Amino acid sequence: MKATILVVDDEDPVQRLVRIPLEREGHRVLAAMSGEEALEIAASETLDLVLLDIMLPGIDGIEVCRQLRQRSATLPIIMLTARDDEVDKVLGLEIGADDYVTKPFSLAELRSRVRAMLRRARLASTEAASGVSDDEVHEAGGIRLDIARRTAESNGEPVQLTYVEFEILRTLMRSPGRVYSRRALLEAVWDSAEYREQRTVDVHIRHLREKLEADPAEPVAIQTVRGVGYRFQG
Amino acid sequence: MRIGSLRPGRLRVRLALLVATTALLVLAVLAALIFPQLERSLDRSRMQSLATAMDVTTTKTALTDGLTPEIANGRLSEAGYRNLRRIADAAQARVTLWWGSGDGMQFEADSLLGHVDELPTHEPAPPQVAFTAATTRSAVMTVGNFDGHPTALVARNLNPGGAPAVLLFSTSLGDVRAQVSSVERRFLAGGVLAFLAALAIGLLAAEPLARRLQRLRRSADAISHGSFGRPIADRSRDEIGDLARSLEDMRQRLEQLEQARSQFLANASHELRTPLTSIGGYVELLQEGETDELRRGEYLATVHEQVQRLTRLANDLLDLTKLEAGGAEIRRDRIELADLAAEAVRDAQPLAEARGSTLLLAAGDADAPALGDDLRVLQIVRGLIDNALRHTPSGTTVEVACRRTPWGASLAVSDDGPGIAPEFLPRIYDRFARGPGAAAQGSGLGLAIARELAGRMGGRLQVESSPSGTRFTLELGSSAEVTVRAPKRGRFATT
Repeated sequence: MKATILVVDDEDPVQRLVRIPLEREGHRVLAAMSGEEALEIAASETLDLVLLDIMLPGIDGIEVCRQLRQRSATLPIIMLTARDDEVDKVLGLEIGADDYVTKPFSLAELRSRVRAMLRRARLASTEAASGVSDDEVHEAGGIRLDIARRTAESNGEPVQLTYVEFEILRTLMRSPGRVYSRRALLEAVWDSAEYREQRTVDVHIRHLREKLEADPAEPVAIQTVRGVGYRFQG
Repeated sequence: MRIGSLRPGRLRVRLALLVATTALLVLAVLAALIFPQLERSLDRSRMQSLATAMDVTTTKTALTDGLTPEIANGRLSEAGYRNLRRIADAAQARVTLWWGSGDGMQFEADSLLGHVDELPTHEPAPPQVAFTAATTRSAVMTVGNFDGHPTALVARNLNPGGAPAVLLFSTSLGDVRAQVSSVERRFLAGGVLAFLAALAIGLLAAEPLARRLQRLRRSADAISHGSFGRPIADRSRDEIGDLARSLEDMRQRLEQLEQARSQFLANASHELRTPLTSIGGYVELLQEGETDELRRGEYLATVHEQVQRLTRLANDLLDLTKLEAGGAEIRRDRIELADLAAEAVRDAQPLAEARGSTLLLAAGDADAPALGDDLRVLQIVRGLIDNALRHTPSGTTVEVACRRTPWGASLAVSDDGPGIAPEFLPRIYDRFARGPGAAAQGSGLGLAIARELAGRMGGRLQVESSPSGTRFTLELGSSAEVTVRAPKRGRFATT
């Protein structure tokens, strides 16, 4: 399936580099050299995916991401970052990126991430369109997850989850009590745990707890099983 | 209100104790001043009224008249006694009459009459005042111990010239003393109350101070644990407010440094990892082997370019680090700026042509001698020319001019480009600083290094920019004594 992908990076060599494998896979690649340009293109084009560098002249990638997220809650955004200590922030709801790639990345890694992201996005939209899982609703421990509507509630209050957070919670809630390893959770969300750092799962779990648990420091619903992974306790 | 710790040694406890002790001291001093004075004046007034009574009875009435012959006789009749008793009643005092015999210093208590309610059961020894009165005509008064009690005494010799007959009026001062000590007791009780009240008020008054200090301490603790986000607010005009303002200045400075450090880290990561991404990616493409000859050449050229970029970055970073640590050796030789300017302009002509701009050596002073390191000056001038050509549109004119100055020489690189954005101007010397829209070409360290070098050569680098052009001026001194210094920078400054 062809997709329209916007690559935002002010470095010409990186622009050219990223374009090659994506075009080889048959995607249409648009280039933006600055944040302003990226927002302009996003306003006039229907995009399937955005690859967004954080360090941009003028409006930086974080602000671009925030604005894109405001316009569309579902547009998949992968951040390109030179700092792994920004991961926490980038994946949070505040910025709202779906995934990130740390520079320097290999083209194989980039391809894998783009594929997984597009596949997930497509799956989510077909699920929503066909209503296959119309009655798939998970409810336990005061948390309600409506798969068809992609909404989450905690004690009756609507909670906003990012795409990945939603998928992780959905996986855990499908089999309450079952322990999932970090790797298993990554595979459940992305189909493959290749190139992915397992600690990003911890970041997502922490964000989930902050949104769902009464006391995120003493989690009740999403429990850590030391040395193994996580489980949902309804 | 939460009452803070009452542990001894705490500031508020010490302050409260100080206040209370001061109150106590004031009361003690007051007591020492008031009570003896009060007692003395009460005693004196009692003595005065006794003396007045003595005066009245002995001089202005005839009460004593009848006594005189009997005194002269040495005997007191029934009538004499009655007389004495009347005198006592009139004087409201105890009245004693001593007869002298012989030389007048040996008294015998021949007669004793008391005030109605205090007839003594024994005969006391005559007090000293009686002996004193025996030797003089006038009344003698004193306060002393009589019969074992504090007493006001007034004595008068009724028979001057003959055998002394001393009439003594005495009245106990017991009631005066009792009054004084009752006031004293009340004063003491008041003192204890005042002490406790001062203690409580002190504790309460010191509480806000203690709380403000505690808040400052918590803020300082937070800063030392690395969180600079929360401002320290204490708007009072007192010393604690001053301290808070100093702390706030410190916090802001630390916050800026932390931001600069974080920014530097982000920039350095970006500058290092972006070329690495390109190099790794193009090598990966080449390894996949699905490329034609033309593409391969293009990829290799990009890899080469990025390796050069990394090399430049590594060199500049090391250079700057060495300079900032004072490590690199910078010479201060006699150099000719005009020659160096000509050389730099010659070297940069190809770049000027490639950019479609004009690079000129302006007519300035033919010789502009200064002290410096020729290679480093060339490095600075080349960098400035490079910047001027790369950050301006095609068709810009860049001029290099040398002049002699009162303290040495200067070299200016000016262009008629669109100028540096005003909001970016203060940050041009920051490491990795990049103007809005500027493409990444250099290491982002050139100006930082140039300024550092200028400073190390005893000169300075200055910039002026307007929408009609930008001028960088390198000023150097001409003798070792002259230092054209830029304002001293803090050790952690990032510019």
